[in-house]
Amino acid sequence: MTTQQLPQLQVLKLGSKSDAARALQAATNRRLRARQLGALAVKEDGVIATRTLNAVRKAAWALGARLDTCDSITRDGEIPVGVQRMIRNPARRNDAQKSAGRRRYSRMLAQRKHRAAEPKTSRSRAVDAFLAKVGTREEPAGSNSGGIITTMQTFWGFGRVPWCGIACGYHAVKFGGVKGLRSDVAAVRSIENHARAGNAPYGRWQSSPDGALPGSFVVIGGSGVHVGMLVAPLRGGAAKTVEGNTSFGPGGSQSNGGCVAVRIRSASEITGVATMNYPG
Amino acid sequence: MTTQLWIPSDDLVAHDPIASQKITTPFAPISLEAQGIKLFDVDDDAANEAAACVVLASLEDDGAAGDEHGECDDDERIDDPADADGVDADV
Repeated sequence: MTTQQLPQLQVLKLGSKSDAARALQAATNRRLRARQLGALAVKEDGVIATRTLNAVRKAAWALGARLDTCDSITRDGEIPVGVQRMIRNPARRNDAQKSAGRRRYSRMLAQRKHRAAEPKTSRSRAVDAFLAKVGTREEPAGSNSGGIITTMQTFWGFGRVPWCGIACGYHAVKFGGVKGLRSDVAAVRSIENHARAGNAPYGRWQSSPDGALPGSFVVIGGSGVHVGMLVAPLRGGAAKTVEGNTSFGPGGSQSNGGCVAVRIRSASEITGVATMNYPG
Repeated sequence: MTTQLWIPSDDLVAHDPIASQKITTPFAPISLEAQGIKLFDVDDDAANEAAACVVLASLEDDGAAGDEHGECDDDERIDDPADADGVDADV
């Protein structure tokens, strides 16, 4: 491959357009394709849009960037010079960064291998689409809106309301093909009531995630409080979930935290599970 | 750090009378696409699966490796030879 002298590096900001951005997009795509993540490649149009920020964040992670550096890319809408240099010239990383990159790539390959061994289902499509949004935050903070959050609110005809149930319902319907969900999926208590009554498409209600399939809705923190989507049941009645409108950790509101995050919920946090009827 | 555990979501929805009505009188999703209005999202299963794998791999301890070899063909790649600076350690 021929190399060319690329534009001098400067911080690239969301919404800007430049030759440097185009060069970074091309380099990002090369790094992603080399790591079996070509599906995340972006259009090389020189515009720093949200999808470019997301792709750069993932490339930086795979190359060994610090986690707070990766988070700052999508949180602040800025791509620091150091991240650009890492993506354009992977050989210029230090040993610690290269080592971190190898370990992460190894883990990512293990995930891909695990996924490839399992059949693609409507449930896995819903869960993957939800997981793909991890890192999303309300913009501005506390607004119950912004970007994909506004998309999900609009899908159900809402404006700016707490959106944990809205997010679960959106992914179940749009990506999982669940039929018959209605706008009351926005209310956590409705989810529980429907599942307890055995109303389609909520499946049945069970007190533990044991035996539940990915894509089930997990009610968390008490009746009417919070809901997430099951990624996998864990030992001891715990669960790995992907949730909208929570926080990235135990600090901050668990049920109105403004973020999409993966969480590990203990048995004591889980109120119950609506198993949900997916097609296929 | 202030920890706010379990602010009841449904109580917050109930503060919005229009939203409350949409819950007590539920309706099916609005088919905006049929009206020519496209809502932004990545409607690509391969891209979503790839992103999901990155997310799940990133949850694991950063000191741990998986069972696969982590070397990559372009680990020593230089796209921009004119830039001789190393990557700062705080990146």
